[in-house]
Amino acid sequence: MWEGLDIKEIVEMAKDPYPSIKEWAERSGKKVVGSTFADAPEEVIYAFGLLPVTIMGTTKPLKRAPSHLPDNACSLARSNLELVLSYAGDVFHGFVLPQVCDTTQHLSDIWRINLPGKYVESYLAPRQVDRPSARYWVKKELERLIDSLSNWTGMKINDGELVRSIAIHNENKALLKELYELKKKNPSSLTNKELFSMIKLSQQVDKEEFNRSLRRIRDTIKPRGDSDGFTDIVLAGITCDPPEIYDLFDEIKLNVVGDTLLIGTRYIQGMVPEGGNPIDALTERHFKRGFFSPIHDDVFKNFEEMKTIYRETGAKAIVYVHIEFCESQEYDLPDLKKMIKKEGIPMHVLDTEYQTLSLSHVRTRLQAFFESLKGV
Amino acid sequence: MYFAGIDIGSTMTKVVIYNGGEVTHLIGPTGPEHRRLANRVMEEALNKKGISLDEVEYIVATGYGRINVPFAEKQVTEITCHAKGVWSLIPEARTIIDIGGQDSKAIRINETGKIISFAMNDKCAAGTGRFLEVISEALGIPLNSIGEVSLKAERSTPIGNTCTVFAEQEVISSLASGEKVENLISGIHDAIAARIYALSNKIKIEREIVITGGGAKNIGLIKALEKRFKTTILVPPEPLITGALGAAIIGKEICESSFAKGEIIKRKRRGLSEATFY
Repeated sequence: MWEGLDIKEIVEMAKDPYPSIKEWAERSGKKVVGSTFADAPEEVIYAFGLLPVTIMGTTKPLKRAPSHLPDNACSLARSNLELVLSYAGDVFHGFVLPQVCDTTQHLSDIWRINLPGKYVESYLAPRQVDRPSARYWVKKELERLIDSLSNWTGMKINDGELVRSIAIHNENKALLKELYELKKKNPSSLTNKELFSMIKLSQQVDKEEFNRSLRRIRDTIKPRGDSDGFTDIVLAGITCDPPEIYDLFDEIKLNVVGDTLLIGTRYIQGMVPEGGNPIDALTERHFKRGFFSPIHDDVFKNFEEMKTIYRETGAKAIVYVHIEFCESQEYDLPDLKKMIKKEGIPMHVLDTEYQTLSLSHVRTRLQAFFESLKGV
Repeated sequence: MYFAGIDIGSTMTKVVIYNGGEVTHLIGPTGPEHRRLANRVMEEALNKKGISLDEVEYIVATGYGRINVPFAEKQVTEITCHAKGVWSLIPEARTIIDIGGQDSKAIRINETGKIISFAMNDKCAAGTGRFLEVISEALGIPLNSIGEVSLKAERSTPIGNTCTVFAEQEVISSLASGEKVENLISGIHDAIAARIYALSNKIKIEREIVITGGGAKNIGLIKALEKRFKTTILVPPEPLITGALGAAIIGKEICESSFAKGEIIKRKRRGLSEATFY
């Protein structure tokens, strides 16, 4: 299903992967477990013979979610709920729902009540990773999740199955990293939309199959034109939707050379150390991954990370993707803006919403920002 | 040598033909089929100037319909074009407020005309020309008269709702209670001024403040803005054409830069064709 995809097919499938996931599950007889961002250990879910799928919202109209989450709730949280209530609920057999911010705390209750008969489990990884208890907590939470999945599936997993799963996931991330590096150096070889579609789809399909597609693309990819005239940027935020925003980047020749997105570098960074005890290694990963803590931490880490990526990549500007009513971003953004401005780094904030139908204002703002930066 | 700027706004289409000194302009309604009509507006402007299309060296399109002008050499945003156009007319300008038909913008520029920052109001009609259109329809007073009418107000009726829909309800309700029309319009102007002030504050307001767009033709709104900003607001001679003027100037600058480098200007295949992707 996903082993022979070319770049064009990946972009198309990333727009709406759910029909293919459903078909794959029916054909393979395997179950599908959905997770919202950002901590669900997909290696554990995969080791049970399940397909872990990161749920990334929908751009389709909201119909049922507003009854549960008000207009001023996070656009991504509402959109995720709508996806499972109205559009792709039948794709999923169960859910593992991390709690990463105030909105997602107790969100699993809404899902559990509204999706009767489905497996719904919370996953509570600590956000304050500097605390001495954090490591113990993550390990115990991983063990609790394994017990919960065992009870649901009636299966037990051993270290060998976990190690194999980790290797497949690590290879996926390594391939994405290679493709990202190729794109950074030669932006004509891969558009922003193509690269980020690959990273997005990687989080939603069977990686063993998809890695074959990525390997072939890596081995055959060639420049498709002149790579001059591109402006290197850092893309900051959590997600970047609707995907047509990448089209705008491509249209005005922006080359994303670094990012802090969960559908970008934060995912690729999540490689698990291989060779030791797999549970210890998965625990370790939680602390090695790039900074992502919507709650209970200071904004300075976020700023320092953005600044470092900006300096190291030699980018000309930061584009910060702000999701409407994402409370963690609403908290951080005013301070971040001040710090970035003080540092003299040009930054443009893109206000996005999952149900955005017209991007004309986004286009105008983005284009105007780069006109003022580069001239016309 | 002539340069043209075409600004397809949500309500009005503006064309400026410029030769580095003399400015000829044409303003017409955009309408729902602007993609089909951009060529005709340009043709009228050329006729007004008495020149042919071939005599125009470079055309820059701007405004929300800028991507649908097939005969333009370049598309530039209205933010950049307004800044350029206003600064060419009023070099002391540091804050530009554009009150358009469907959105408002606040732009801050430095002493060289470079944009420092900008903010746009988009999803909400409050603080835009549309807000005034709705209210003028509700009150049965032509849009171009409400500014003058508001000057007769004894007081401004406070309008609590800045949402266009709820404000309209509030105005109708106040009318039914016997409130005077001029007081209500004055209150509406105050509400818009408050909204514009909040938008402008995001970019830090600096004098001189210049207003452009259709809102600049409403004397009542200008007075309300001056009261809110506590300073004089400057208005260009024709505040609707600053975007198109800026576009034409940008065209001139591109040509001059290319000439200086000995480069050949990349021109579109000429002909006032309709956009084919309507």
